[in-house]
Amino acid sequence: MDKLIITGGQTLKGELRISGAKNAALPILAGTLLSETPVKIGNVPHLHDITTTIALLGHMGISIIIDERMNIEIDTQTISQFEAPYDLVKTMRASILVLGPLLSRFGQANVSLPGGCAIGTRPVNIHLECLTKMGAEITVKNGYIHATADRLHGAHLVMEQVTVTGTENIMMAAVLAEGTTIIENAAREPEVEDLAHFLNHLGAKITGIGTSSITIEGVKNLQPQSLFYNILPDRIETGTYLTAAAITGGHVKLKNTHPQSLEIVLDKLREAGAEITCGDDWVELNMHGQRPKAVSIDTAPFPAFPTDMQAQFTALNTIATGTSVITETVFENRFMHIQEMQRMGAKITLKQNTAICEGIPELTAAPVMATDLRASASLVLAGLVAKGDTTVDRIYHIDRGYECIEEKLTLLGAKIRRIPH
Amino acid sequence: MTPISLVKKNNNNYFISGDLTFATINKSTLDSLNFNQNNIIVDFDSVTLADSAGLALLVEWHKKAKSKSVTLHFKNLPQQITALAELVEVTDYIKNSYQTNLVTPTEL
Repeated sequence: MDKLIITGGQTLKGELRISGAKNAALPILAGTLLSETPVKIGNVPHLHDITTTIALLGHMGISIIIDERMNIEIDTQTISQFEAPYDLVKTMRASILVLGPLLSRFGQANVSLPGGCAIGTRPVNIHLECLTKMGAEITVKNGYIHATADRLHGAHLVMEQVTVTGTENIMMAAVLAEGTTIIENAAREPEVEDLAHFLNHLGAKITGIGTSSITIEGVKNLQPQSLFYNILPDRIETGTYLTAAAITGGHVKLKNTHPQSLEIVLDKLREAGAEITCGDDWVELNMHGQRPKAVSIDTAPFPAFPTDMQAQFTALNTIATGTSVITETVFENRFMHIQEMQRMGAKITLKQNTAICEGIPELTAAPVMATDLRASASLVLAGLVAKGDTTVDRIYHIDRGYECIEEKLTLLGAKIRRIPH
Repeated sequence: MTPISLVKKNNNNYFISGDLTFATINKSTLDSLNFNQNNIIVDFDSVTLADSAGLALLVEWHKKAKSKSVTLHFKNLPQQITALAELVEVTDYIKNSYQTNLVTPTEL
């Protein structure tokens, strides 16, 4: 397994281009299964999960052309299999996203139960219950979900809890269902919005986008002509690099991003002492060389503070002035980075879903181990301000969600290198 | 995104400006230098942003120059390019190239 070695003590400065959002790209790639004509997707990040999704679509017999700019043209006319096998999807939870579109358009789907990050149970029962209410017949056997339906029908669905992939899966299933589907307590994340906009470009009829009540009026088929759709920029990648700059007292400008989708993160960075300026597609952070102030956070579904930024802010708080309280309400097992940060000298006390962090001036480098995607990023951030060389092991998690992280941090002046296994 | 502009100042001097990135570099950028001369100097002083695509462009130009026995000098290379060259360990390659008078080491 590759490792990253970070030599702490560099102040991050410079400009970066933010990649497309993985969490939008994966459902949109799955959503292409609904289209009878070829579609082209742009601003796709070059990440392991994207490669897995492309391999998954290829396994189904779908024609895929990738150009030199990572624009992906997908033509589903050649589809011959309706299965997402375990071998392809065991590391990627988003595999479940092919269930809705396969079932809706082709009336059948065999999907391996998903794997992915070890940050909680994240059950898929909500997906299955909603699809059943829409007329699907579903059995779970030998680790696979077997689903069939003649044609799904619309339903009034109240999500038992807010679920991003659940909302996305049901929204895609409802696009070709007979009648109207209403999803109550729907996820409002920008990536869900982006999928809805994409589906509407295909010819779907979705309203209530960005609200907790989404209405989908089913259509018979989707046959867009010459569709090109650009994935929205990655708000979590944006937030991660801003936090990386903040933790080092740095000054960065991030381009090709969408500051409106991370307002709460920007507010918290301002609270930490950052001067932030934004344009339509860029954001600039300047700490003026100052150590950040401690900021308390409570994670919750959008538009509240994202759980995907909790670990990075924990890293920031380890070296901030003052004491912070970090409460994780979304996932039950998302403090695994704390033990690693404690090995770097961080003063953090953990009590159930709350971490109390007393900031210290400097961390000390140590060998640490990544446990999930965002935890990995937070350890890299901690390494940026640790005295000495921090080795982050098991970085395959990072490669699932951050495009060229060592390149981008190098461009900002970090001292980081990858040690291939 | 600032597009690339490559201006030929005189017979062998080129002045490049704009972003040298994945978003801006294309095949025509690669073909924009005229290698039908003995000596070429490319000045990067006005490059605003660079990434690994910029480094790859530099390497490609270098290879092309070498294949045509052209002496190629890069002036005022952006710090981002030199940092990336170190990251991906092509510094030695570039330094070796200088020994055959292709790149000025003080600018790396």
